[in-house]
Amino acid sequence: MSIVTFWNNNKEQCGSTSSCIAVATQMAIEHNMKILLMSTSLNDSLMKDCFWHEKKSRLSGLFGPNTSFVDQNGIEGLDRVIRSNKVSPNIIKDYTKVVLTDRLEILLSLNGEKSQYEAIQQKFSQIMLLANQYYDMVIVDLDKNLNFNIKEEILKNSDLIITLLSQRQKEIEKIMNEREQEKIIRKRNSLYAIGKYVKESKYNVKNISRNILKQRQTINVIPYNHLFFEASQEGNVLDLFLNFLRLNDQADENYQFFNEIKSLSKQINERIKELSQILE
Amino acid sequence: MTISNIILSLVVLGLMGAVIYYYINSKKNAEVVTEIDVDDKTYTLEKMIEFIKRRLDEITKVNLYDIGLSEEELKRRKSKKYELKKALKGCTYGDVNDKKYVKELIFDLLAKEYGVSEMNISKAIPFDVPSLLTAQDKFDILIYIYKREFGYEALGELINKYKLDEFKYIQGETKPCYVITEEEISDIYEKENIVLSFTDKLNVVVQRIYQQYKGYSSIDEVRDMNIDGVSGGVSGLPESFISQVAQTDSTDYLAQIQEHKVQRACDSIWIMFHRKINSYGMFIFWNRSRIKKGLSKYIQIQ
Repeated sequence: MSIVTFWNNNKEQCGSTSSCIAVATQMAIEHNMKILLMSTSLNDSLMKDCFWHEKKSRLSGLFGPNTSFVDQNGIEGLDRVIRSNKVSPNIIKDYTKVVLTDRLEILLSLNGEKSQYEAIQQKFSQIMLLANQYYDMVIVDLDKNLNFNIKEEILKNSDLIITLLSQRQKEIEKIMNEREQEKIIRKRNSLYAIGKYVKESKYNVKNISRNILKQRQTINVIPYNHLFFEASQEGNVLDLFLNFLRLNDQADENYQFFNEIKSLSKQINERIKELSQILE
Repeated sequence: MTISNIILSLVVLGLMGAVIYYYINSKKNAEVVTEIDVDDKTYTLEKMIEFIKRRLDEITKVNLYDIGLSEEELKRRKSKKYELKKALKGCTYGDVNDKKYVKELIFDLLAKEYGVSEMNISKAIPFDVPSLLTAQDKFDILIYIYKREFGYEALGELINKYKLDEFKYIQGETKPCYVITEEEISDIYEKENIVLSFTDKLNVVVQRIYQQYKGYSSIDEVRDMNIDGVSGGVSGLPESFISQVAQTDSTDYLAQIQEHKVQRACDSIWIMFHRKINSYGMFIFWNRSRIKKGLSKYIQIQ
């Protein structure tokens, strides 16, 4: 039972939401774990679009009364339960959407007003900790627009933090300095990954490790993949990853993409095991 | 059957098919909206209570098997429906979390479905015209504001701040007593100079609807406060006595009752606070059935 938070402290988009979706999907397919993917954004439909087409049919309107208020999913539905202090690990699962039964569920982001979002973000940490009692792993997509104190609280309560970086030299140096100073995150429970990675760039992994990080250990990367980009808009991410399992050709960019995701997932699992052994 | 007839039949069938397809598609794509006829009385308390009762009834009685859900979705919806039913039952036994849940649901239904807004909320309680507010309205607003700050010490804070638990003489009484009158509540309301946002106003309306629908009537919020006890239906003549008097045809006595010169049992509530018993002169239970509902599960502490 662990909490893994994906976040990005840059102004630039590094694909942190896409990355955590990719990692969560890969883990759910290949590992026998119950994973909850939790969104902390406001009015962001990316997670939903990755797995489902927009359903417009409202059969409940044709055949019966509208019960949409009680049947709301995601943080929005959980909001009322939170406001009345009735949240418990069992209740959280009633508000998630199932991608893979007993493997991957998603707690969708809030679709509402900013004032509602500001009230509910105070409870994100509590939800995360409660969900951790029920799920084997809670993967949190930390939105950069959250209040700083809330971000800090979520990061503090996370077992492992995955920081997404852009492929810019200055940004990487800045993050590494912050890491040394342990400003926001500690060395021990943090991993780094370059999002939307382009291997043809001068700032490829080898050069970054040698010249910027000045260490042998290579940094994780999540390559940009156009099939994944398209699937994330068409609700086909799960099918795509199931197809990727059959890839063998190492020269294939899709194989490389999938391999990197697998490598990151493996590192996450290993690091969590290490950390839990240290705590014991 | 000639070729032209066949072609014509095919064209007609094709047109019919297209119309049916378009109709089904538009039904699928249309938002399901509960239509509310808006007139002068739409945003009154009575109409809103009717709406809430009807909607909660619909929500709890919907047959989930008719909707064609997947197994997982069906399990989740059944669980949510069960939670709501549990909350609706639990709130009548005084569970504060269940009460909060039901009130939050009523809030959402009124704000998002019924269309209550800043423009029409004053039709339920006249927030915009303080002179039209009854003592009950003012007290409800005061308790709401104080509760936001002091939680369940709200009533205690109010009583202590304005020394409402002191012995006083009231008009028509020869002996001093512990009583909180309508005039005192009106004075306090003026002194507090309260400014309410729309959310605050809606919360006050929600509480009023809740206490009439599921709560303990006038003592609903008072009951939750950190006080020693609440008592009601002991302020005067019970209604059974009044009906007996009616049978003896004592018209003079009946006239006095009608003019409120004779105290009725439901004319006020009593609270025990710091071992003093105060009467809230302005609360009326309205009738015996409300007293029964309000106090049937309550034990008086002296």
